[in-house]
Amino acid sequence: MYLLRILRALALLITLLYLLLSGDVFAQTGTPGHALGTSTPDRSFTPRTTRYELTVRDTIVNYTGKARKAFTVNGQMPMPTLTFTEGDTAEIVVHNAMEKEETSLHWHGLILPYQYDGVPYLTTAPIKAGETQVYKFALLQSGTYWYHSHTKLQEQNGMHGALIIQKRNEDPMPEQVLILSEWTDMKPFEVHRRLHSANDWSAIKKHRIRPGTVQSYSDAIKDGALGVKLTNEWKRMNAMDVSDVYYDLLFANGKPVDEAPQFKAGERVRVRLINGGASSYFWITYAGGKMTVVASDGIDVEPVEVDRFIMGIAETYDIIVTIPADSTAYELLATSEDRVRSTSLWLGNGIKQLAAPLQPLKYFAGMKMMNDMIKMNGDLDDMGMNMSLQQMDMNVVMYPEITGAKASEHADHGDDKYNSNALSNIVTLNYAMLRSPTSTALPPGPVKEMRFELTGNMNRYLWAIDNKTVSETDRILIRKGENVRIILYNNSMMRHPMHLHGHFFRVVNGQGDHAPLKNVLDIMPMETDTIEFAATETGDWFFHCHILYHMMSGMGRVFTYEGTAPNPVLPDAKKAARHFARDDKEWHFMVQNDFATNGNDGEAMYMNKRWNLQSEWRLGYMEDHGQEVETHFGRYFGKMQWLFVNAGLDWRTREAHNGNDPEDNLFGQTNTKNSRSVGHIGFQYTLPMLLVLDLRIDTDGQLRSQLMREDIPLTPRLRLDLMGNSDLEYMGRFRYVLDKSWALSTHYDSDMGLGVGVMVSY
Amino acid sequence: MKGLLSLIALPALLLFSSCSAQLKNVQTTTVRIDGDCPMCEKTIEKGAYVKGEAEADWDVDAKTARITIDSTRTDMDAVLQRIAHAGYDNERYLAPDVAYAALPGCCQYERTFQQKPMTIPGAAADHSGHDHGHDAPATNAPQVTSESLGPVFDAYFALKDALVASDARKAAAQAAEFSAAVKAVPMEGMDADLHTVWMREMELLANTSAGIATKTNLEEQRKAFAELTEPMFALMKARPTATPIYLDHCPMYEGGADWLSRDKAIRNPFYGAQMMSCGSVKETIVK
Repeated sequence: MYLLRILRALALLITLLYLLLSGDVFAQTGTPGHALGTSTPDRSFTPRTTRYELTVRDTIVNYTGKARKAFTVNGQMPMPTLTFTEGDTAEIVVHNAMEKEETSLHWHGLILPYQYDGVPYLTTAPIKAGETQVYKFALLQSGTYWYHSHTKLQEQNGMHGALIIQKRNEDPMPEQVLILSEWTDMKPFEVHRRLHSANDWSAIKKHRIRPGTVQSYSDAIKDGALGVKLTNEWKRMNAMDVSDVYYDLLFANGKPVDEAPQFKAGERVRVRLINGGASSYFWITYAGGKMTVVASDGIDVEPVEVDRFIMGIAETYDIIVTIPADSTAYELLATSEDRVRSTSLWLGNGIKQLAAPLQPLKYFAGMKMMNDMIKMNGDLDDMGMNMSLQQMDMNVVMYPEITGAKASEHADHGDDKYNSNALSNIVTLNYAMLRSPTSTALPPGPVKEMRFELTGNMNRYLWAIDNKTVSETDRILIRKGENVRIILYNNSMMRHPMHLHGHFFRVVNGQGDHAPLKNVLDIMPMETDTIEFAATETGDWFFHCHILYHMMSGMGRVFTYEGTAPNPVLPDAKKAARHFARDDKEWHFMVQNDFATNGNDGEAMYMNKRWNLQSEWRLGYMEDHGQEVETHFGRYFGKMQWLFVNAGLDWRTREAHNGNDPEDNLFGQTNTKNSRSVGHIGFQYTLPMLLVLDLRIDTDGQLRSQLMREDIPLTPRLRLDLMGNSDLEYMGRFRYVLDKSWALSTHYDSDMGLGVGVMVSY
Repeated sequence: MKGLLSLIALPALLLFSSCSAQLKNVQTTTVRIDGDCPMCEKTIEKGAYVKGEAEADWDVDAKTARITIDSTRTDMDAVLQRIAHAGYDNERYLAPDVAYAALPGCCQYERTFQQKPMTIPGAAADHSGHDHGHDAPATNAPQVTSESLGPVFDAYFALKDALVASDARKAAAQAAEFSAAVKAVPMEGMDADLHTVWMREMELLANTSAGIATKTNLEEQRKAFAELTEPMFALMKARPTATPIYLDHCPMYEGGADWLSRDKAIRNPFYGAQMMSCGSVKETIVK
C-alpha cells in the first residue's frame, strides 16, 4: 500500500508538472485508481510531448469487386498505430476533412479527463465537418489500447486503430501489433436497419460457407434434430445467431492476411492483439505451440499458458509466443466466433505452418442446449450452475474439438458438462485464470452496489439493461471516493462485451486482492459477474455493450459524478443530452411488396424500439377481388416484446356481385367486405411456434381474430407464410429467397385466388 | 535426357489438359507433396479438388502432384493450403499437427519439409545457475541446477501429457525418452544433497519408465506411471524450478494416487477425458 501511495503521488506530480508546463485549461483528474501496470518512473524524467496529426476523410474502397464508402485517417484503414511512452503527454490534432459528416475519436481504455474521452454530446463536442480538435492529456499508464470513432456506425468502416503505450523502464522485446476487424459490403446503416426487421439474409450468406447456419427445417431433418427445432419454435425462438452480421472479409491489420517475416527462430515475440471489430468475437490459436497471456485490456496479468482464447469485441490481450524453427512462418489464426471466416498473421519467414482450422459449429446441439435453458416466458434458467467468468461455456456443446464431431457424442459429464478445460486437453483461457501481479484491492470507502440485468430480444433487436435503454433512463450518480460495485446478470441469449469508459474495474474472480483489472468484460448468457472500481474521477462516463449495433440500440448507462462542474466543451448541456439520447431512438423503415399475377400484396413498417406504424395492403387487379388497406400504430410491451397493442384504420372496397354478398364471421356477426371504412383497436401477441394472434374490434363492433405465422424456414431459402382469420379469410404463400431484396413467390388467397409473383423488400 | 523428358511430358500434358476439359483458363504446376501410400493419394486429390476450380494428380513414387487450376477462379496457394489442411506437407504449407495426427497409421509419412525446432534458451526462465556463478566465481565445478535435470522433468511432463491425452503409443515413446534422459544426467558436480536423492531414486525412475515404454496397454502404463510420482517429487523438491510445480491428488485412482504438473488446472493422467478434472492440488513446489 505504501508503494502504491508513492506511485500515485509520483503520477500526480508528473501530471501537475505537465499542467504547469502546458498551461492546459482542463484540470487533469485522471489519477489511476490502481498502479495501472506503472513501472517506477525515472526520477530525472521530464515530460515529453508526442504529437500526432490525424486527418479523417471518407473515401471509396474496393475489397470484393464492389466500390464502397469507408473512412480513412491519414489515408489509412485501419487508422495508423499511435505509439507513446508512459509518462508522455499525448497531443493529438484531429482534422475532420469530410464534407458533411461529423466525427469523434475515443481513446479506448485510457485514464484521462472526461472532456477528452471523445463520446460526442456526452463528454466531448463532435468534430464537425471541416473542424479541428486537439486532444491533449498525460499518459499515466502503459499497455495495449486502441482508439475509434464513437459517432454512429463509423467504427465499422475503418475508424479503428491501435494505440500502444510502451513501459518507461523495460528492455524492449520483439513485438508486433495485430488489430482485428471485419468488412461488410453492406452499408452499416443497412446492416443495422435489417437487424431490426429480423431479416436473416446474413444467415443465408453464412450458410453458403457453413451449411446449417440457417437452421431451417430441412437442416434439422438432415441432422435428425426435428424435435429440437420444433421445441425451439415452441419456445418462440428464431434460429440461433452466434453472431448477427455476415462479413465479407475479416482483417488482420487491415489485410485479409498479414505477414511479419522479421522474426527469427528462437525469438520470443510479444503480440499485442486488439479486437477492433464492430460485432465479431474472435478465437485466437497459434501454430507454433502454446501462447502465454501476459496482459489483458492493457494491464499486466501473471503469465498464463493457453492453447486458445476468445477475444470479446474491444478487448485487448498481450501474448508471448515463440518462433520454434528456422525458415518457417507460423500462423496466428483469428477465427470469427461463428467460424464462417478467419484471418491470419504469419510470424517468421519461410514455409508456412498452418494452425488447425476451427471446425463448423454443431448448431442443433446448441439449439438443444438453449431449449433446455430457456423458460416459456423468455427468461433463462441456469439450472443451478452459478455460471460466471467464462468458466462454463454453454457453447462447448457446439464445438466439435471439445465435445466430438456429432451432437450425440456429448455424454453427460455432470458438473463439468460445459467446462471446456475439463472436457478436453485444449486449455482455453477464462477470466478465472487471470491474476494481477500486484494487489488491486480497492481503497477503503463506502460501497455503492447495483445490479444490472442485461436483457434483449433478437426478433426486434431490442438490447437494454433492465429492459431500459440509455435514452429511457437517467444518468446514474456516483460520488468521488466511493467504491462502485456492479453485479451483472446476462438474461439475454447473446454474450455482451460490456465496456466502462475512463476506469479500470476489478473482475472479482476468486483471486482475492489480485483480481485482474479490465475495462471490457465479456459476459455470456446466464452468467453473473461482479465488477468493482474506485470512483476517482469526475464527469460523465459511458458504460455500454461494445457490440456496435447493441450500443446503437441503447444497451448502456451513463455514470455521472455528483457535483461535476458544467462541461466547458458542451455549453448547452440540455441540447447535448438530447443529441446523445438520439442514437437509440432511431426509427427504421422497411417495406415489402409481392408483385403477383393476381394482385399486389405488401406491408410497410416505420418503427423504433417500442413503437411501430404498420400498414398492410392487398390490391387486386380485378374489381371483384377487392382492394384493402389496414394501417395501425402501436406499442410493444415486455422485454421479449411479444405483446403489441395498437389502434388503426381499415379500408376496403370490392365490386358487389354474385358471391360477394355479406358474410357471417365465426362470431356469428354479419358484415360486408364490399365497402368498409372503419377504425379498430386490438393487440397482437406472439404465441408458441411463433404464431401471431391478432385480436381486434372495429368501430362497427365487428370482432376479428386472426392467426398468422410468417417466414417458416422449410429450407434455407424456401419459406412458408400462413394466415387464417375469423372472417373466414386465409392465405398461404411459398417464398424462395433469391437475395437480400428479391424473392419468388406463389400464394393462394381466399379473396384473390392463386397467384405467382416477384417479391421485393427493402 | 532433359529433352527426352519433355518429349514425354509434352503429350502427357496435352492429354491431361484435354482430360480436364471442364477447367478453363488452365494453369498447371508440379509441386512436391509429402505422403506415403495410395491412401494418401486419395486424400491429397480430394483435398485439392474443387469443381470447376482445381484438381490434382499425385504420384506416390515421385511424391509430386500435378495441380491444374482455373487461374481466373483460384490460385495455387489456395490449393496447397487445402492439401496441407487435409494433412499433407508441401512446398508452401505445413499441415496443422492435428490434421497430420488424424491421418491413418499407414499415412503417417516422414515430415521432410519440417524444420528442426530450435531449443530456446531461457524459455524455462531459470537463471539461478548464473547467479550462483557470480556469487562464487572460485568454484569451477559445474553446478547441477534444475537446468541439467530439466530434460528429466520435461520428459516426465511429456509422458504425463500423453497419458492425459489417453495416447498409449505416444506414452510409450515418451517413456523411452524419459528413461534415456535419466541415464544422460551427469552426476559430476552434483552437490551432496542432490547426489543422495539422485542415487536413491535414479534406478527406480530408469526402470519404471523403461517398463512403460514396452507396454501398449494404457491401463498398465498408468499403473506404472503412478510409481514415478514419489521419486520425481523428491527430485523436484530438491531442485525446484522457477515456475511452480503442483503435486496433484486423485482420490479415486487405485484408492488414491498423486501426480505432478506444471499447470495449476487439474488434468488427470489416470483417467484422461473420462474424468479430466478429477483431483485437487495437494502441494505446490516453489523456489
